Amino acid sequence: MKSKTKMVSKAKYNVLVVDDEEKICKIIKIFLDMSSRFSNVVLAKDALEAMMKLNNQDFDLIIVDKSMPNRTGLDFISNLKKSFKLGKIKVLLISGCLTKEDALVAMKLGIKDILIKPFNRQRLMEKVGAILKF
Amino acid sequence: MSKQKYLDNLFEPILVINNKNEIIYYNHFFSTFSGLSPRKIKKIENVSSLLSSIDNKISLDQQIDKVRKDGGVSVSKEGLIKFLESEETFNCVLKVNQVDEDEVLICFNDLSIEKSIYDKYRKQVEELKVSYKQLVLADKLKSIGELSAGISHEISNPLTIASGNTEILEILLETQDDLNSKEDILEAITNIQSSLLRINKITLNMKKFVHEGVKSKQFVSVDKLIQSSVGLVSPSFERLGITLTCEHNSDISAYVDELAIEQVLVNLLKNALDSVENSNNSIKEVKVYTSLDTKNNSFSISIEDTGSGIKEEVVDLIFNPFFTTKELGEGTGMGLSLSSQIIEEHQGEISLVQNSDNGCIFSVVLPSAEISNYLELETRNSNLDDNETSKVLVIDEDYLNLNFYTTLNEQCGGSFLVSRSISKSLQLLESININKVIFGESLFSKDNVNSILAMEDDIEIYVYSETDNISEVDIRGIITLPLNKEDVLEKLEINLGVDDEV
Repeated sequence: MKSKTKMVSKAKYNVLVVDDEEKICKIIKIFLDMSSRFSNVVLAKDALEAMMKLNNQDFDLIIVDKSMPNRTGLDFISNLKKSFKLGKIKVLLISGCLTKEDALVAMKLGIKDILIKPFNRQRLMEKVGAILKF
Repeated sequence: MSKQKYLDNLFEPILVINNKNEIIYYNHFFSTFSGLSPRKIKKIENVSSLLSSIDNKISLDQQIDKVRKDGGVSVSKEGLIKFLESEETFNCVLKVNQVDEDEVLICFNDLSIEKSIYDKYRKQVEELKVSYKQLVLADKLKSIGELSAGISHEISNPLTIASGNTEILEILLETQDDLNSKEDILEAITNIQSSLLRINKITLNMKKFVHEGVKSKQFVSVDKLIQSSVGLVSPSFERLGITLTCEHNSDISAYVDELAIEQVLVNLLKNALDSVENSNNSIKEVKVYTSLDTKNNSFSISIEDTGSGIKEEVVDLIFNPFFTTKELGEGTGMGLSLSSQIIEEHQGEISLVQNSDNGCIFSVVLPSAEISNYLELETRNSNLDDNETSKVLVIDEDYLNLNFYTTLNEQCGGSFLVSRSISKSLQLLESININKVIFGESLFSKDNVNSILAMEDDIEIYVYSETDNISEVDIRGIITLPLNKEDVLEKLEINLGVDDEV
């Protein structure tokens, strides 16, 4: 059988992590920073702060928690989708408890994948790698 | 005399009166039934004084006058009577007819037993309604679904933090020089991680228990679902002369509990039948048709009738439990409520999309088979396990093969994603990490393989032993037909996970 040579992309990505649990944000940042794939991992504690970050910088991926006070992750993404530019950013939704309704809403919003808590570094990197295709 | 012998042997109380309304004959059963002795019956000068109607629904005199005047038969309404000098009451229907010029026959049809049973049934239905409401109230806060969802939600964050920190510690400590303390700390970290896995398993098991509400799902042709449902109700349609038409679409498939969805469709068809039967509209027809919504990855099954529609004031109540527009005993009022529950458990929606004097359209919307299968797998799997999580995508049109793999998922912890089309498969490949693809015979071709490899060029391709033209592409392995679990797992190099004992 022939062996396949995989073309490895050397691109570096900017990621925005949005979660009201600061410690989880930090963990995700540490995991992502361990990989050479990310040039910038920015943290936000809620949807409002996330919007401010999005207005200041371009991102390739948003990792957002579903359950946040004031505005949920799904509401935040739904709002983003109204913008032509921001709506194109790929999204990974993280959630501790996903209902059937949430899952369908996420699919309809074009959210690329869902990561259920708790997760380890390997699983996070698999999901992120699959979305960003590296 | 022989006529009298027949009447004597009847198991129905019978009287015969003459033109003076005197009782000239009664059979044995009448005496037993009424409780009147022959002596008392003999004393009755006019049949009018034989009985009294307690609820005024029966008038024997009027019935006798009517048949004497018009001939024919007179049948009374159901009513409560009691006989002369007796306190016992009977729920009866009286049938009176003129048998010849002078004689009139009176027959008593005793419905007391039936009424008693009906009253008991009615009482039990009312009790059931009360019990159900109590159950719903009590269950609202205590339902396992809410409990497990709550527990799951509450501990997921701390679990994530704890597990993440232990991972970070582990990496940091590997760079430490002091070996002794490092070993102790590493062992402690292992213990913490084992405990976390154990908690995770508890929540996973609770989630699985919640999802057992829907029995095992299978891939099935929507066309076949509709045909089997229609088959169950078509005799009723034929009997009433109501046309039932179905549009066929063999391309749509569903991942559902087949019997449950059949139950929903049969219920909707029966409601449509009743509506058309009771309507004054000249067209008597029910139609079933499907449509695909590729944008939303869903499909719908619609049932359209030419009945008189549903009254506006009750439209909002039709999905409530025990709500019915039918007479007591003709419908439980649970049909739409249960149907709604079943469809909700399938992540779908059932709704009344059109309502007018000319009929209704009910629509059942369900997610596409591939999405339904994927969602089920994602909610089942643990993301804390260190086991290899490569997914195998099976692209096959054969329902038997597809259901073989979904059954295998029960044992393999969700390794197999299934799809019936190349286009849906490409959608799945956009965001899910797939290592291996199995092609069914009908979908295997060089072009299809190339379109998959264009998404991810290191995917391993597998085919079945009976597939043609396999030399045209680079194949990783051949799976023998008929499918068996050991061969499939061996060829794909998948090991069944072993549960960690803590």
